[in-house]
Formats: sequence, C-alpha cells, structure tokens
Amino acid sequence: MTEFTLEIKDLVKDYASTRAVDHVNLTLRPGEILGFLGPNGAGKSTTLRLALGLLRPTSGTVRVRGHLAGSDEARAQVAYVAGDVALWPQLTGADTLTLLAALHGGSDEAYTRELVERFELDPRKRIRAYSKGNRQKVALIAAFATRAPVLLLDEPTSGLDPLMERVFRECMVEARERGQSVLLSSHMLSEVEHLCTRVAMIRSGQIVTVADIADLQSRVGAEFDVIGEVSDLGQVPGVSVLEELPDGVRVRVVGPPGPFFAALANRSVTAVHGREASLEEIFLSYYDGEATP
Amino acid sequence: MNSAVTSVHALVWREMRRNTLVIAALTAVIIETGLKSYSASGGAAGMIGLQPLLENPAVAALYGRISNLNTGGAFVVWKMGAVVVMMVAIWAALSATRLTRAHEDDGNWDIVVIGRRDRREVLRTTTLVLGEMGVVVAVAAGATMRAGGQSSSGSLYYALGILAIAWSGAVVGLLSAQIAAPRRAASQVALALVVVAFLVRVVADAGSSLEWLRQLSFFGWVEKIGAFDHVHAVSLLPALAGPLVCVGFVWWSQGRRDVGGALYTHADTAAPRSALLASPWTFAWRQRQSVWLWWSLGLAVFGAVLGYLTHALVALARSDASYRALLQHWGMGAMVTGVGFVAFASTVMSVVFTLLVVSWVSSVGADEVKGYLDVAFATGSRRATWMASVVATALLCVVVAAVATVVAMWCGVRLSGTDVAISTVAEAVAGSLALVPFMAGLSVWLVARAPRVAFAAGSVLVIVTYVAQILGPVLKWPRLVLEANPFHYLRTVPVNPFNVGGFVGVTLVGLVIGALGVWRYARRDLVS
Repeated sequence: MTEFTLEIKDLVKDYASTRAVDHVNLTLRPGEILGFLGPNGAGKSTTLRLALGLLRPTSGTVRVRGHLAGSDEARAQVAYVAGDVALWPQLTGADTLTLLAALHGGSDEAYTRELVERFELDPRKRIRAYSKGNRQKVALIAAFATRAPVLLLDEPTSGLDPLMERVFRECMVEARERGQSVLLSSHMLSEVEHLCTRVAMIRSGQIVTVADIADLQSRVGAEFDVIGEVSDLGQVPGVSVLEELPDGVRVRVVGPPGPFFAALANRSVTAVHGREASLEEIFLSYYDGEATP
Repeated sequence: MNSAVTSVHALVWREMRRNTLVIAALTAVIIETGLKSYSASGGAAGMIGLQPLLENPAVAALYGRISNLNTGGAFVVWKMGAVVVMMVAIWAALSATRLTRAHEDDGNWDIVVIGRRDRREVLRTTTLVLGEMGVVVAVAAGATMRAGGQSSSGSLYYALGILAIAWSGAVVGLLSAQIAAPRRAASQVALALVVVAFLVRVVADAGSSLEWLRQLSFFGWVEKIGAFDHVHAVSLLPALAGPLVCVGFVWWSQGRRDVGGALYTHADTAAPRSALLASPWTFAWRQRQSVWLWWSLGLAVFGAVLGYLTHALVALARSDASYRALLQHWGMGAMVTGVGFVAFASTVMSVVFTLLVVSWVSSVGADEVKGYLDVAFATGSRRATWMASVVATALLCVVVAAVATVVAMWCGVRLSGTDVAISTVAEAVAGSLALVPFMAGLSVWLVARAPRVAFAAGSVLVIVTYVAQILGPVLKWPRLVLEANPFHYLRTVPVNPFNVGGFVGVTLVGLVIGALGVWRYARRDLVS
C-alpha cells in the first residue's frame, strides 16, 4: 500500500489545442486536508474530475490509495462534492441520500441523520425545490456520510450561509481526525487557511507551488507598521518598504528578522505592529507576480 | 428591433437553427418521396382503386378527409399528411417548452431579464423565433410541392396549413410551459395536448355526425383548408389567427406568476420513498416510471384504434378488386383478412416501439449533459452497468407496453366485429418487436458518440428508415440500399413467417454497435 491516499503523476489533459492540465504532480497524505487554489480557469476542477475518473487523462496517472482513478476500487474510496450540484430534480433530499449511499455501496446511516440535523436540511423537499445552498448540503451530507477515505471537494461551500460554513468546517475537522484525506478546491481562502496546513497552487494548468502555509508565509514575509524615526529602513537586508504612513512606515520583512530588529534598536521607534501574511496575500502575491514561485 | 432584442433573437435562432433545418429537410424529403411514389403508382389513374377508400369512415379517421387523389399533392396530403403534421406539431411544441420552460428552469434568461429587457420582451422574441421557425418549415413544404410540379395555389395553401400546424404546436408548447414545471412536465403536457388534438380530429372524421368536433382541434382547422382539394380559404383564419390569440393569453399569464413558477406544480415535498433506489437497475425503472406509463397508455390507445379499423378496411379490400391490386403494389397485400390487417398494423406499431427504445436509452445522454450522473459515476456505479440497466429496463418497458398493446388491439379488433384470436394479435405484436434490440444498440452508440443529440438523431433515423422501407421498393431503389434498412427485415407476422435469419442478423449488428457504444461510453470524458 502506497503512503499517499491520492497520487497524481505527470498529469496532462488536452482539449484540442488547449492544454487544461499541464504535467501536474500532487500527493495527498492520510489525514491531510490539502488546499487547492488557483484563479478561475486555472485547471482545478479539471484536475479533480480527472482524479474522479470522469475525464480521461491525455497522459499521466491518478491513483487513489494505489488504484487507478475511475476503477471500481478507486470509486469505492472516494466521495465528491461539485461546486454546482446537479441531482435528479424529482427525487426528495432523503431519496437522493438513499440513492447515492446505495450507489456508493453503503453509508453511515446514523451519521447521515446527524448530518441532516446539523446542516438543517429538510429531507422531504424535492431537489428541484431546494435552493443552491440546500442542494449543496445534500451533496455534502452524502459525501461525509460515506466515510470515504478520500474526499474530493470542488468549491463545496458555494451557496452555504456562514452558519452552515461553520458546520462544514466542523465536519472537515472531524473527517481529518478520523484519518480521511481531503483535496479541497476553494476560493474561500479564510476557509482553506483555517482547515489546511498545506496548499497547492495552480496557474494555467501548471502547479505553481505545493507547500506548508507556514513556509509560504515565511517566503512572502511578515508586515510591520513601524511608528517613529524610520529613515533608511529600506536599506536593511530583507526589508522592503511597502508604504509611507503619516507617522512612520509599513515594511515587509522576508527571511531572518534579526537585522530588521537590530536596525529598530538603533532608531527612535515608539511602536511596532506586526502580522504574518494571510493566505489571501500569499495567493495574490503569487498571481500578481510579486513573489517568485 | 433594438440591439438587445436583436441579440436575444440571434441567440434563440442560433440554438434552434440546426433542428429547424433538419425538420424542414425531413418534411421536404417526405413530400418529395410521396410525390415520386404517386408517379410510380401510375398517377391519378393508379389511384382509382383508392377512391372508394376515401369515403370509408375508418380510413377517413386515420388519414383525414379528402375527396380525390387526382394530384400528387392531394395524395401526399392524404397518405403522408398525418405523419408530417404530427412531426411538425410535436417538434414545434417541444421547441417551445425548450425555449421557455427549460431556460426558465435553468435560469438562463435571468441575467437578461433583470437588465434592460423584461421577461415579456424575452418571451415575445422567443415567440417570434418560433413563428419564424414555422415559416422555414412551411416554405420548405410549399417549395417542395411546387418543385414537384404541383399547382401554385395548392402548394401555397399546403404551406399555410403547415405554418398553422407549426404555430399551433408552438402555442401548445408555450401554454404548457405556463401551466407546468419543470420542463419534463411541461413537455409531457404539450405532447398530451397535441395527441388529444389529433385524436379529436380522428373522431371528428370518423362520422358526419361528429364533424363539428373538427372546430375543437387545430388539426381539424388545417384539414378544412383543403389544399389540393376543395379549398376553403376562410378556414385559414382560425388556423392562423387562433395561435396568435393564444399567444396573447400566454403573455398575460406569464406576467402573473413568479419566474420559475407555473400555474400548476406538483407538491414540493413528499414522504421519503426508498423503493427502487437500491441499485442502478432498480433506479433506472423508478426514474422512468411515468415514461413507461404514458408510452404504454399511448400505445394501447393507438393499438385499439388500429384494431377498430380492422373490419372496415378488410371489408373494403374484399369488395374492391382495384383496391386489392393497389395494396399488392404497395406491399400490403396481406390486408385482405383480419389476421393480415392485424399483422400489417403491428408493423406500423414497430415504429412506435423503436421510438420508445430510442427515447428511453437516450435519456442517459440528457442526464449526463445536465450533470446528474457526475456523483454516481465518480463514487459509485460503473458507466457500463448504468447503461446496461437502462437498456434492460427499456426492453422490459417494451414488453409491458407490448402486452398493453396486444390487449387493447385485440379489444379493438373484437369491437369492430372481426374474429381474431388474442394469441394471433400477440404473435403479430411480438413480430413487430424484432428491431427493438437493434435500436437499443444503436441508441447506446448514439449516446456514447453524441449525448446531446442522441434522441433527435435516433428519432430521425427511425422515421427516415421506416418511410424509406415503405417507399423504397415502390421507387425501385437499389437492392443494396433496401437491404441496408433494418425495417427491410420486418415481416407481417403471422401472415408471413417471422424472419429468423433477418432478426438474428439485425440483432447481431445491434449488439456489436451497442457493445462498441458501451466501450466508448465507459472510456470517454463526461460532457457535463
């Protein structure tokens, strides 16, 4: 048995002359939630659909716990939630959960009932009568209730209200604690930051970086608002001035902070406010071309 | 038109242009083939044997009323008329539910109607395009008649009749989209209304005492126009103005309901029902429960009507030598006995059975396009299993529908006063199922290759090959072409023995095509 629950190797997907996924390599460890980030059209959904066997790769392989994506064994190991859930409109929510559980080969019925309550879903409604958020809940409940070792989630919280997003995050944490692995594609960067320790970023079909969020933060650096006498602070190694403030300056410090603090000690500084870069800033730095991958 | 309306107009036309051209071409081909077969049958002189048939109430009910077959145009109106008008009406009705209800279900127009254009403007533009689509088909019909040497006035009235049918069908679709939601329900209502309108015309033509019923059906209005017969131009008024009046009601009713709503909808909640959800095999049946019910009912009614015609048509064939000769010429010589008529009627039913299979199997393509199958295929079922379950239930549905047909047809035959055993009717209907496995295989292949158009392509193929099988021998088409047609291998069982060799051959071809389709389906990208 491989050490990875999901292993994507040199994956390529072409549509006529367009390369949607370009030699993507990615792994997912047991009990890990890997954030999968990228702008619209970067290839996130295509990569996920390749991992699910819904699309056939031009070249490369995807393995789910050692089994080729799309095989019987692989399908039995995964659960999936799409960003725009489409389900049979005439079925009720309860019927849909029964059907999807049966197709998967079973689910935890007690957990299903619990999830229905936690997500405040009315299972008697027909799918066509659900709002987008409620359809999303049906798909999420169906996915979590399977207890599948690998969850592939593509914008799973689109349409959910903040309360339900919180329930979703709780379920994700529970899944991680049970040892389930999750590949989480999302534009909700706060959600990813909250749930993931590692993220993969994709741009134009190519993986830009795969790293721990802490590593990315150290690569992008921390921001400090320095109040007081701050002349020539930009000359200090690793320090760049971002913005002049009325009574000071905002700087970014990349790398070891020692020289920065040594420089402050030699100046008349009245206050220093620091914070690490958020995932959103990291994301923007990658896609604005500010940072070198 | 301002630029926004022009954009919507262009967008709708872009969506409908292909199937409009297909229906226009199909209409032209059927008319052209009918005109050629008229000539090949000896023209007006060759039709003398059919003249007594025109007076027969049962024949009039089925084909419509006409007083002579002196021209090719009149022959086409009579012989092909029901096929053409039903095809055009159903196409127009389904196009209307697609352009209105389906887009409303999917929210496609939301972004347009919250802008400078309101819902009514979008509906007006859609209605305009539906009207223009009817014009295209009508022009194709009239031009083909004229090019085939028919009179200008007859061709014009015929084209106007087709236009009225297309407009009426479209209005039925527009009305259904206001009454029912979602699209599937609206389309079922539209189809039911078209069929009811046709049956009203059938009943009206069955006897002079019921003639007034023609006023209640747009098929009746169009028949009264009398192209290539005794022209009654005043009938153009209700035929063309009627749909326009109904359009007014459609616009009025749309303004009085919410977007996405309908005047009548099923309850949005229901008690959980886990029956038939345990596997793809059972779900394939549950998902299509209403489909088999409606098809079985429709086939039973059709079978009963055909059965009821038995006595009248057989008596006519026995009493008129020239008619018997004509039937021989058309390959329908078996119709001189009750059993023969039942056998022939069953071959007509074979078209409906094959359409049922096409409709059932190609619904997999529609589900795929809508994205319903994503989760099922990603985390559960094999695609091949899914397809196999749909094919298996299609075959089961055909059996159920066939049993209903046998019983209904036998009742019709008995009511007509003809003595035919139910086992004979069963044998005849069973013989008409010979192409079902082939068509199932072909449908699988179509879904695998082109899920978006699988139903349209399959249906057109069935109609074209059936018409070709009837007219090909009369027009002396090459043997190779005739033998390539699956309907060529159908026999009028039990008058003629079941063509075991042909059945095995066609079924094997279907199996190979189906297997290739499954292989392809299991390996290609999903299109959702």
